[in-house]
Amino acid sequence: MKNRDRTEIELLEIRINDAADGLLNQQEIADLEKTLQDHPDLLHDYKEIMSLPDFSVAYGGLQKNQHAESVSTILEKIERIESQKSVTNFDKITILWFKKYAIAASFMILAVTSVFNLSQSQIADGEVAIDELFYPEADLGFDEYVTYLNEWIEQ
Amino acid sequence: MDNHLDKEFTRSIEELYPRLHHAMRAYLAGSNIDPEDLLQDTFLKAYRNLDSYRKDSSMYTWLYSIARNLAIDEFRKRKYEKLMSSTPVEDLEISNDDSSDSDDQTGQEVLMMRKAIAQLPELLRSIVVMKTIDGLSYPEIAEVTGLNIETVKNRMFRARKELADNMKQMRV
Repeated sequence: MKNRDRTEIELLEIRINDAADGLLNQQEIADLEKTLQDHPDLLHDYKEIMSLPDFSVAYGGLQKNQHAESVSTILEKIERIESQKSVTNFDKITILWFKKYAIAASFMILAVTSVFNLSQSQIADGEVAIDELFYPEADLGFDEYVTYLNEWIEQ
Repeated sequence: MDNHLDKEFTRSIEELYPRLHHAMRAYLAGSNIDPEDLLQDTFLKAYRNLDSYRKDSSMYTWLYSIARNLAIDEFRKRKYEKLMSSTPVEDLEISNDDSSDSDDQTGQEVLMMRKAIAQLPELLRSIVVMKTIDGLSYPEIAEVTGLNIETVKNRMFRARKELADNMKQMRV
């Protein structure tokens, strides 16, 4: 019973609200007022609500041309976010690319370093050969010294 | 991010900003929160989260709900609700831009209406602003608040009742 009353009151409240929104015709308003005679509290609320002033004028009309500066500030900030985003995207793509091709990249690095080492050792050998060509080994007499030593032992 | 949506959003800022500013000015009246600051945050947050925008809802109600959520966070930070009952009338004063639109109302009446709105609890205030100041429909208000249409209408009834009480108290 209580629930039914509550539902009925809530429906009447919504009906009063419809009346305040100007959605009811004269007949519907007359019916509503008749029904509200059985609900003095709601009838009191109805009268007060219907006598409220028009609140839509409380803040005047839209001022469309006063916000150009604020709008351009927002657009500038969005542009800044976009440019930051493109840098971040580059980072992400680089990391993703690296992960995807990490093995290939490490083989590549290995191959490049091997080739480099090889070429370096060839250059070193070549340098020795050239050195020998231009500066033949000086005869320092080591062989003779060994011979002399052997001879001394035999004696 | 959808490039088309991205461009659509950027284009719509110029159109939606003045309307949202008008609504937020009424919603934030007496709170010491600057509507300009709140709207800067709103549009940037919306831009960063464009992926979460559902195309079946309107861009305006989506932005409105972001702005409202940001404002609620700010109210919590400032414990705003406790201060609302002591909102000074000076914070709600009428600027020169408003006067031409309120010729039929005396300045005093407009001030009283603003104060009556500002004294409402957050949910009722946001519904009153959306309905009477911004002219949103009940389905649109339901979309912003996450309530069903019947509940929104019922809250609007309560808001009107409280507005009538607030106006009566101020007239005494």
